[in-house]
Amino acid sequence: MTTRKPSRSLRSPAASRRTLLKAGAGAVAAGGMMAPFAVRIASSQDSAVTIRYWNWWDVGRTALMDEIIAGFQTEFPDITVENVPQTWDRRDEVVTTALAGGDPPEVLMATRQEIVRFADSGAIVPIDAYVEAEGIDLSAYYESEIASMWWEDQLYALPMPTAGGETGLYFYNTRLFEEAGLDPETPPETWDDLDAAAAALTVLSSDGAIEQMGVQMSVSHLMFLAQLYCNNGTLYSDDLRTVTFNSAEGVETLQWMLDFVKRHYGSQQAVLDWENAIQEGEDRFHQERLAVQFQNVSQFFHIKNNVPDLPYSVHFRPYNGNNADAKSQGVAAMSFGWGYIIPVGLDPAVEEAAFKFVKRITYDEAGACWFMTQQERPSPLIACNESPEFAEANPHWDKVQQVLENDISVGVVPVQGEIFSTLMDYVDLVGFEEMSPEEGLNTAAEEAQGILDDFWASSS
Amino acid sequence: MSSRTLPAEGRATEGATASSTTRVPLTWRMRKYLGYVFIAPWLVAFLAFDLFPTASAFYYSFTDWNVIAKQSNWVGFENYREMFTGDRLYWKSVNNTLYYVAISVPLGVVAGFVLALLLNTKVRFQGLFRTMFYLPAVVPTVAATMVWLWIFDTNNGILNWALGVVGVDPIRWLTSPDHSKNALIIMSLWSIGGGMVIYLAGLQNIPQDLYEAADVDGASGWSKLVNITIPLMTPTIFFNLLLGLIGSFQVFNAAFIMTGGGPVNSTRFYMLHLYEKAFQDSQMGYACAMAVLLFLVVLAITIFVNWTSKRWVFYG
Repeated sequence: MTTRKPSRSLRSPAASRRTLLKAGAGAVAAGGMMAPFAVRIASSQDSAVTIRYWNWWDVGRTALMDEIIAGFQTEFPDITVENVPQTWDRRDEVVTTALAGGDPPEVLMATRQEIVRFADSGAIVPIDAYVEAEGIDLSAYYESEIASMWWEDQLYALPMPTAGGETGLYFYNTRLFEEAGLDPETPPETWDDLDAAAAALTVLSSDGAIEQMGVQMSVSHLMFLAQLYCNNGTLYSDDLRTVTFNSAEGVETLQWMLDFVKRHYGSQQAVLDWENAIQEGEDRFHQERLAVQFQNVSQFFHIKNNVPDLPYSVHFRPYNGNNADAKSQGVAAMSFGWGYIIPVGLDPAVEEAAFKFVKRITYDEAGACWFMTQQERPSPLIACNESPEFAEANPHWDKVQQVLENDISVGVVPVQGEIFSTLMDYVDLVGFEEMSPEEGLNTAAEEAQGILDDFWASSS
Repeated sequence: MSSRTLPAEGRATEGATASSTTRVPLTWRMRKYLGYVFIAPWLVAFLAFDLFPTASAFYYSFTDWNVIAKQSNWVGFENYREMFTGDRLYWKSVNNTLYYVAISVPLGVVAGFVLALLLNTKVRFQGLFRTMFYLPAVVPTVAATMVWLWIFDTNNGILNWALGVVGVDPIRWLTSPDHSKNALIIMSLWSIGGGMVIYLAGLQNIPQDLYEAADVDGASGWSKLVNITIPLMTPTIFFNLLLGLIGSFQVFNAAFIMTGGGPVNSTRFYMLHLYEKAFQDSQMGYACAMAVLLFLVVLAITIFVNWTSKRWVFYG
């Protein structure tokens, strides 16, 4: 917490040296007596407050955020916001130590998983009272967006940007489709369509190395979870008490992924070779060496920023057409998506100022909507996305809106990281064919269930 | 303290009158504490940033502290029990680390020594070569890691290209569990320049007359190496061995940046596992228990190596 005191001078033009000395001595004595109340006095008398705002809005977004802050400070001249963009290096460590160290930033951009973890540890303040006092209408957000901001019936954060649009869409290169004899107007709808597209779009070298990947596919836990929901599977039961990813649908999904990788790319190791190779730039989709990419909606901004002439379109994530209950299903908050949290222990005036700023970047049109519009990506706020500006700027807007409306929110628990690590380990073993999909998922589910049971037992 | 042991200045002070004593700015009694004043900056930092955290880690290893919560509960030896019997990846990380230590430490000691021997010969541009070989030791790990990612690239890497020239099939250095640890061991040789400099200093301390006497006796180069150089370098080898052991048990950066512990946990080293437990899973109590055990193991190994040094280190 930092507060800014207005500068004052003791010296008056008529004051003598003796008067000044007396005043100084008196001030020292009074200061000593009043020291225990210093903080309270500062916060109640001085209205000036400084908010340190840690965020990961880099890559061209810092200037946009600065603009929002400038507008906010004009409206609230007593609140100064220090924009402190962070690097991604060792993010977990930086965030954890900031909160544990006793001097955290007043507003912190946190992942959906961090929000529930910190809430469960009592490290951040619930914001229900502020939301009520400010008259914030939570139904203004998509249900899937606001759902992961809660923990144990208390609201801890407001969302921005979307967690939705994370898995529901895929991006595809229309030029590569045409060159491979595929019709860009009828992109893959089902897993079988995707299989056919991969066969047409993939280019391997004479020694079997991937030169152009037709469809982004890897036997990884996040890819598995995204595909799982497109085969009518789930990660947990609705009450978050039971692990369910090892259902028949889960096993079928992982088997399909493994077969897909082996059929088109040879092996999971070949995929890793391709992913790990250092090329100029990082995004193969931008380089036109990847025809179909499963990417979240931030890709709109990155394409606009880096490769504005890239010929691309978007469509809904393919589902298992052989499962009558399956459909294209996006899931919010699986791994991506952010909210803004306020740590405990702040002076009440600072906490209130921090919330005002959180509201600006997550709810107010001048902040939340504007920031997303500038990036041509959707907002968690429904009304923002209905602005005609979006549709004009982004020709794929109807699909984006459709995905956000249909997305569901996957349950998030404070031990999500451990559960994902467990799942990742066993899915990796399946990818390296050291376990069958069924064996891998069952073993992972058994361990994950143990973690979940331990958590709920300790929680109760 | 008796005047018998006092230096001249001290005796003069002790024998002076009371009035003259008061004029002495610093009495002998105060002076003996002066050293502590000089080392105070280091001492304070040591107590605050080394001793206190280390002692705290011992305490927290018996708690379920999650870093973020203000409270923690005393759980006795539960973290240690979990380590040995419950954590599936603990023994994997131990085995990976032991493999790494067992190969990288001897390799580093030998490679550093051989390099120092080569650079100790009188050749043109000797200073340039020494600088070149030392330079990697001061390059930040992150930068070096990016270079090594290029080198180890399966399809376009220079290492596989060179192997291909002599007819070796491409090796999946970083994407195969069979080769990933070896890749990181090879990478560890990148920083042998630090040890090399210490070896060079040791080599230059060997008296030349020993070599001259050996020359007179007609000793071969190999004989001089085995009977003069190596015995007289054993204190330096011992020193580098200890540093290498301690450093290798704490291997972290390369795996953290290059492989993230994969593929299939084949590069999940002890410190990487500890780090993930502490900061990703918020199990700081458990991570402290891991740290305490590592400390005790490294301490035991250091004592053991120190004990064996009586048999093979020659101080001349």
